[in-house]
Amino acid sequence: MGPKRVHIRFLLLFICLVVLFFLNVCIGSVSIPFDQVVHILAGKEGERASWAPIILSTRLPQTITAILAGAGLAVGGLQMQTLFRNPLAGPSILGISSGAGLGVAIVLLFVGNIWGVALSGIGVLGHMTVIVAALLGAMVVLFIILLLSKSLKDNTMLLIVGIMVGYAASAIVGILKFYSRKEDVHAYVIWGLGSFSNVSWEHLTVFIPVILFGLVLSFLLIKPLNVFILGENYAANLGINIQRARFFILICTGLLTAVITAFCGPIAFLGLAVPHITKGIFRTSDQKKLMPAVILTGATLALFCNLIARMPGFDGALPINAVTSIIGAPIVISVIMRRRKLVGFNA
Amino acid sequence: MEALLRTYDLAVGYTARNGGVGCLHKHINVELQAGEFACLLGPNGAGKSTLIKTLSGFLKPLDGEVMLLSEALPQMNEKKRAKTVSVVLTERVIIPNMTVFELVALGRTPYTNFFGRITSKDQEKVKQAIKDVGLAQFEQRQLMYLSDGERQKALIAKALVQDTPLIILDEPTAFLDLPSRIEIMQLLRKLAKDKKRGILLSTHDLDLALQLSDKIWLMAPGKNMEAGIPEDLVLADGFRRFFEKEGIVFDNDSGTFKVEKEQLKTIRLVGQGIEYKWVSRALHRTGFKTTREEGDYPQIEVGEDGNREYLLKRKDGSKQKLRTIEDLLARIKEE
Repeated sequence: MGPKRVHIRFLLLFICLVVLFFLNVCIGSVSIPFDQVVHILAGKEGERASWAPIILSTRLPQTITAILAGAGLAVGGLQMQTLFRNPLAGPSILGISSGAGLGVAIVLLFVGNIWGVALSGIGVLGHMTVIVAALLGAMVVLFIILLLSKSLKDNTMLLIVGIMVGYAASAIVGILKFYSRKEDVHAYVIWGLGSFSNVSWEHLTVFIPVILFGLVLSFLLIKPLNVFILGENYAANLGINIQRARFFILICTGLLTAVITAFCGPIAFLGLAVPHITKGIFRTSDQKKLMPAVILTGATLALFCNLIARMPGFDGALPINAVTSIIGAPIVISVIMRRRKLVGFNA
Repeated sequence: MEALLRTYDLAVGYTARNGGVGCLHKHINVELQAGEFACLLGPNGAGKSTLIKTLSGFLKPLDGEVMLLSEALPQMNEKKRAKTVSVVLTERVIIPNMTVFELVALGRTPYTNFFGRITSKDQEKVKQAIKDVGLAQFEQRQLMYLSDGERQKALIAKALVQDTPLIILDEPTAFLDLPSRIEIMQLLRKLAKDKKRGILLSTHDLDLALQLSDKIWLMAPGKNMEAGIPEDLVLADGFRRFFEKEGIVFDNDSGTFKVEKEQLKTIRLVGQGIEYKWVSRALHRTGFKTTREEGDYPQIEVGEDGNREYLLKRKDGSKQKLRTIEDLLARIKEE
């Protein structure tokens, strides 16, 4: 594909992103006209007093969260699929989101049981506790993975270990659920459905810089990642320090996944689907093009899913996880079907 | 002349996790010069792959030294090594959406900047290498749509643009058909000569190695490695000692392996030319021994000058003319 056609695709994606951004801010249970939205975003008063708070304190943070989470998960998915040369890998493959889930389960179910308080009922304080617990759980798993990656030379082994750690974490969650009260389990289930709407401006002061850091780091890892497509041996022969490169790639995906899962819950499928969709659009394996492309596609798809979940009539009742999977699955299948001659099923 | 690659009493194998050592081969003393095309031959399980991996720096030597341009390979840092030795490995490289150009351009990785940007000078080198391996018309084609032989050439081009004095290939002809095998071997020999690179490859294509390589390295379990030019190794019975098994004989005369069969009957065969040669081959294949001497055997006279006609004289004196070797064999078996 010539550079011109690549540029056109980037431009079209960017336009989609901008359009979806405004749709996300305009549409909801209360529809606000476009000119009023621009007005309010520019810092002026809206026609109705209720509109400004809706946009500024609800929809805008939610939209920003969706953009960053979509971009971050997509980057994690691309990195894992490339590192492990496995099209089924995603950011959750390392067991990090399961770790986050375990952290949350311990707080919601275990602690709730012991002290007899349902944290879900405490509101803001409870919410912050959930985020911290998820982050801690994810970081513990990430730390274990990084530690094991030092002694495991083989990427496939590491992949299996990641999946096993994930299973173990899920199993403990299962046990906790079994011994917990109904309302606590319900709170856990709600967390597990994922949401872009629980991130306030205060949270964003943490969320934005960390995600941006992860995205910048991903650009610094383009060169080693590009060579990892050929496999570890070729990468080593081309002068890449594979242990160090793998360590940083794991940190990058791990950090993005941990933070996004902590703030939004486990968002299914985006990280797996977006790299496939992007490769279908750009028809390249070059990370220099793919990395910015998955960021754009990830953000766009997340906004699209968020919009569907919030369509008037659903009233925010649709869990984001259900939407991402329902929309993502057919897209991935169609991308794969179009790639008729799927000779090698890697990367 | 300073050797490009030289090993001193090298031992290769794997170190197990518990500290145990699985040594596959030791006392390896070989060298390779710039512009030399060497083939590593040996039966399966001899440790060819392990030696290749050790010489490319993927495995540490268990003992002894590997010197690349007078520098010890295990001590070399990864950047320097990437500019000294390039590899083509056995695994198939089929990456969806990747073009020949993109694959070959990855060979420039040791020279590109932090983001792996390909400069116009890199681009020229990549295009030249693609031309050198004969893939010029496939430059923008995706790897998935290439034949195995073409993909192998693309990987060789990748090794070329890495600009290393030494190129090591692990069984580059393993899954190719015969014409592609010959093509790849000829290409590698030509590149070694034209570009003054040292090229080492492991292969099972013994006859091609005999015809094309400057040096042959022979390896077999439990034997010391032997290296030399093909003809010397044949005359020193090298191939017999390294490859012969029961029922398989290396014919030093023709430089090929023959299957040993119990030969039951003797037949006198007279004639000359290409017809004579193939009749004799057919008889050997079906278990007859041939001789030119007169004796108490049936006799076959082969027509000459392209006159394809076979005259069979039986022991009882009866004669029969036959048009094809197939008929001839059928008649003889009736005897």
